[in-house]
Amino acid sequence: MKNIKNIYKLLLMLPIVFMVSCDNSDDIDEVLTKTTTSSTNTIFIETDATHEQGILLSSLAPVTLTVGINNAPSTDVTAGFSVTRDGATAVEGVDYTLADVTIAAGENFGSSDITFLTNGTFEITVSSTSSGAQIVANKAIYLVPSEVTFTLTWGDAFYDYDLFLMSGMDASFVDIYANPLPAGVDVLAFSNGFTTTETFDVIPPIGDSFIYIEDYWNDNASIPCVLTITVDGVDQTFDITMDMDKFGLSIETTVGSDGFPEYSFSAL
Amino acid sequence: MKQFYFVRLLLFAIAMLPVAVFAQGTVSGTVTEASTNNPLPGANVVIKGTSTGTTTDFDGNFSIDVNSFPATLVISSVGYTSQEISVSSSQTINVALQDGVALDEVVLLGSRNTSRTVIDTPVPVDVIDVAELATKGPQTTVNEILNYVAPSFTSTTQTVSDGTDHVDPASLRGLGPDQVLVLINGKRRHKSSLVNVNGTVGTGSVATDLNAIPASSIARIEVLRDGAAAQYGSDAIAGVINIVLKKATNELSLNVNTGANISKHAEQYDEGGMDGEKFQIDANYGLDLGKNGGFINFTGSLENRGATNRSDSMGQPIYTMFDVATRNLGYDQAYNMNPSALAAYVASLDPSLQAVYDTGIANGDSFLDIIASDGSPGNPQPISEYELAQRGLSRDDFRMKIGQSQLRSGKFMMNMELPLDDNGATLYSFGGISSRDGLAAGFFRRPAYTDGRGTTEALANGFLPHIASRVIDKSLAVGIKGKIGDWDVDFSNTYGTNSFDFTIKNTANATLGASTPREFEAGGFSFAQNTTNLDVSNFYDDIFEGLNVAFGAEYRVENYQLNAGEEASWASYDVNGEVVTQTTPDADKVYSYFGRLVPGGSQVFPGYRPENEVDQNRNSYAGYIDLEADLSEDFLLSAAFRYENYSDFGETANWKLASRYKVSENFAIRGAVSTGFRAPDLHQIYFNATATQFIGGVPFEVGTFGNTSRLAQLLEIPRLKEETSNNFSLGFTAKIPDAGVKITVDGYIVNVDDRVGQTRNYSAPGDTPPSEVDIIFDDASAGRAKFFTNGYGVETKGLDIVIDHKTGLGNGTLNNSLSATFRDIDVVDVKSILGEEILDDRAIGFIESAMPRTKLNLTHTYNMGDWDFLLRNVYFGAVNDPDFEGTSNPVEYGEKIVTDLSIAYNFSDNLRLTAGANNLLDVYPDEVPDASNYGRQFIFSRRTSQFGFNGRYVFGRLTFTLK
Repeated sequence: MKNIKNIYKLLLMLPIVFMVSCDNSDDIDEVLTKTTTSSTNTIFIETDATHEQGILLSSLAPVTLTVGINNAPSTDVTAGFSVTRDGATAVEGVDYTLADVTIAAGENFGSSDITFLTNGTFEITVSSTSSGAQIVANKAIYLVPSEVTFTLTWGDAFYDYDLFLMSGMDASFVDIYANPLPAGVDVLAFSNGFTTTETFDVIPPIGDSFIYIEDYWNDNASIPCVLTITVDGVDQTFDITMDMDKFGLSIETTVGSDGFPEYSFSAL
Repeated sequence: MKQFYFVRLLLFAIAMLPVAVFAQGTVSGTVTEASTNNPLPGANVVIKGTSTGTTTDFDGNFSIDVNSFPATLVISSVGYTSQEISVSSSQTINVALQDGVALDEVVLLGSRNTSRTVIDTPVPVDVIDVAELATKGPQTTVNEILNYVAPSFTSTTQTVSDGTDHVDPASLRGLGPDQVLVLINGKRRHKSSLVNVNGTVGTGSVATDLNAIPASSIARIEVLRDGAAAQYGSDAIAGVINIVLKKATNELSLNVNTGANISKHAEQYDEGGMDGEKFQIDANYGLDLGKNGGFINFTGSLENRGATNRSDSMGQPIYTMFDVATRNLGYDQAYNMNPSALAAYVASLDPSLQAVYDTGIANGDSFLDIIASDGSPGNPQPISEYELAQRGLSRDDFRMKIGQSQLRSGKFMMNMELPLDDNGATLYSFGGISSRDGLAAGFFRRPAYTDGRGTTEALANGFLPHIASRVIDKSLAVGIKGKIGDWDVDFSNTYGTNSFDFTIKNTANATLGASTPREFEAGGFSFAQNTTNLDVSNFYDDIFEGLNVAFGAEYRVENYQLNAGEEASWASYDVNGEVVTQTTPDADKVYSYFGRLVPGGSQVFPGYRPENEVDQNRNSYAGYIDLEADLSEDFLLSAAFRYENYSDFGETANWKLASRYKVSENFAIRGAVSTGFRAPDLHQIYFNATATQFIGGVPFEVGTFGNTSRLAQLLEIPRLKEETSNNFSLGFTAKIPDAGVKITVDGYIVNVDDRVGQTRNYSAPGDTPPSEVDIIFDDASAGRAKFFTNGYGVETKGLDIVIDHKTGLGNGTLNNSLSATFRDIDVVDVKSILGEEILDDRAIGFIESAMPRTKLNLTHTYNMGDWDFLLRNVYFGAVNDPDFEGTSNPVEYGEKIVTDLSIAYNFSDNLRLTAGANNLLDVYPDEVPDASNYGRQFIFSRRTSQFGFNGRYVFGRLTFTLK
């Protein structure tokens, strides 16, 4: 071995090399964990709607509105609503009834029922709150169709017929007061008075439904009757001869391009 | 049982010790270059007909023990004409080698006759002087060196491919990484424990980890480019790589190497800069052992390699409206908000967000779609832009790490021989240990992932997960060689083990939400192999013009283990913090805001589950006979036969015939025909796991099921058996001594049947009610499944050309070398499972066209006094991107030429400075089409293996040689 000095210098250098090579730090950039979260609180309408599409109501029964708030308040919070009908401000008491919602202290939700008094497209948003929560402009949209009026008339009061809207049909079915309803068939609306007119207002469901007429006394007398259907003030009439209990009309209800129902009636 | 095995082995080794017989003296001398009279370091001196040899030191000196006189010494060196000198007693000889033909060097590979030169062998062998290249060239690892020097060898560093980032899959003649047998000092090297299961070249294969061996410990590498399973056993279908370790003594060689990628795309695409800093120090030192020429040589290597990154700003959507809401309201509040409210709230914050909302409403999109929608790469992404501005971040903060992974390694290698007496009995040993810590990144878990893997509850801006691999490789070979009568006997035992352990860093288990750990032990695997060899040979110089007879036996034991990671690394947790099982109600599972099931396990690399654990053994024994006869001065004929029996798949027998005919002194024709085989690796039989794979940028939890699993049985996938091959080669060698030119041309055909590979992904049938297969898919939490199976065949054919030229120029010597490889590879006979072929177009693309089918290497070295110059141009042929195979728009990346240049100056006998560059002209592959580069992250394809995409690498190296 020669050049002891050189070896000495190299040995001095080795610790540096060793330190560099054994540096155990990981080259991982942890720059992305920062975020700034504020404590903004929001209040909004709870809805299961996945799209901004109205919910088509099948009746004018009251609908429950739920309002949510992100952070449960320490005191009761009241939220008021803004309601429009077909794009214009709706009139409470004329077009709808709705009370303010109260979210109780410690809760995240509160609810109130809205009742629609007329047809149209209703949009409900939170318009005011007793807390400082930011009001979110999301909305609940309801499509309230006008009811369809079904009227059955005949001339001789000796006979008594009752009018039913059924969700299904069984042509062999008779005597609705004596027999159980066919499987899967429900009564959706009815009129069973004693005069020569039976009538009811209803929103036929989407899909097929049927008019059933009951000859209460089972006279089977071949009496001519007129079934008048009024949709948005427009009448259609169907002549029906009542010679027995029978399904007299089928109704096919579809959703039109405006989201409201469209009807097609066929005599049976 | 294992203990008894080693005891028996030890007893046998001891019994062999007294075997030595004769011995007679030492021949020493000096080898010089005839034209300049300069000493010739590194020349080989071998006793003809034996495996005994040595190399000259820096001053051209050598000393070799000769067992019996008379003997013939074969002196050779790259670029010089070999000489044979007869010696009859201990003496000193001086040999002047004439400038001549390159590669005229004695090789120990491809022939059991240990005194063949590369021009003599009946099959093509490349000899790569690593000791010289490691001081002249830019490349410092074995894979890098071979990729730029060896014809038909291809290997590049992979990226974003889990453990494969740290074990470069290498290919010879376009065949699989597992179809090359690697030897060290002629002894079988163990394989890596890693089976490549990610989307890279070599998917489904188990390679040998060449980078575990420090290049500075290597004297030379011999690459046999021909099937040799009949000689060496399993794996040698494409060829054999034999690594010959250094033997130098009394010389301290110290390399201090530093460099970096200084490139137009360094640090960030198109910005230019420097990254991939590398610092490496190698030390090699040897001592004499005893007085009979024994030695022990040590090599230590420390490397610190920085990562490179060629990605651009993240072009993918980063945020959704949900993230806008979480920043303003807090995660819990936003999570509990209904979509209509959240969308409306976020829209109210900024006109750009309101526009997104309005557009979505107008399109009839659902609120969740509106919340998640933020355009696509190349198109406006108003939500991400708004939120980046609000958070004070930029798209650069979300870049992935696309390039070479970070690596720190320490390697140690030892090589020793100790003559036990004067009769030639020699105890030898070699082995080493290496530890490498790699750190590679995966896909950025952006908040925009709607399945919640971004874990924004804990990490508001997502995270870039990293896979830290610790690769530990250990090996030790011990043997004794000597003579019994006239027979050379070599008995050895070689043990090697390789292990991978994965730690997943900077990641999260998304099902744990805010309480997720950030680091996970994800398990790992290990592979161990013990090989016992007995080799016997004799050279009869009085039969024909020489007959070499060799025979031997081998016994091998292998073990493969797969270890589970910690629970949090693989488990999905429910909302109560319990591990999700089959009985967990759906309502208790963790869903993202978008209603999608949040994936469990550590993101980027789910740990191995307890049910994945494996501990399997296999053993095999083999016997061979190898005859090689010089039937005349001109006609060589060799034949080999080998029988092997494996405890799992059974037996196989293979044979080889090879011949060489010297038409004239300077022209010879050679050819070989052989059969071959490759035993399925234990990894391929038993590996099973699930991992996250991105196909088209979409994450999938994909399961790889073991070949012996019930799912495999249900699908009637047969047990793995050996691959078989038929190899044909024909070529010629020619010398033009006056012009200093040597030419070898070799054509080949390799047909492989029953290739073991990984199938395409299969999905559960989705039967109602769920079928057994559906249930098994569910049990494995796998949406899709892969298997290993003998599923297809490969037909490859090609032509390798090597031309070497050496001449004097001015006051120096100019060496020119041209190597070229042309090949074509086809996948054939693809089998089907569940009515679908097991390989899809993409998988076939990896095999057929993801590596260059043409590669040319033109290297010039010029030595003049104290100056050395190296200029190398490597032509990499075009490759096809597997991701586009089978589509209407296949994508080809064109051919490129990469230039290396280095200059070295010897300041003294002790100090040498080398500086230069790999890829001097900063060439990059063609870019991936914009629409498919994942938001400008994969600007260069990670699927192909051409020449990588690190760009120019500039290096400097100080070499100290102290005696």
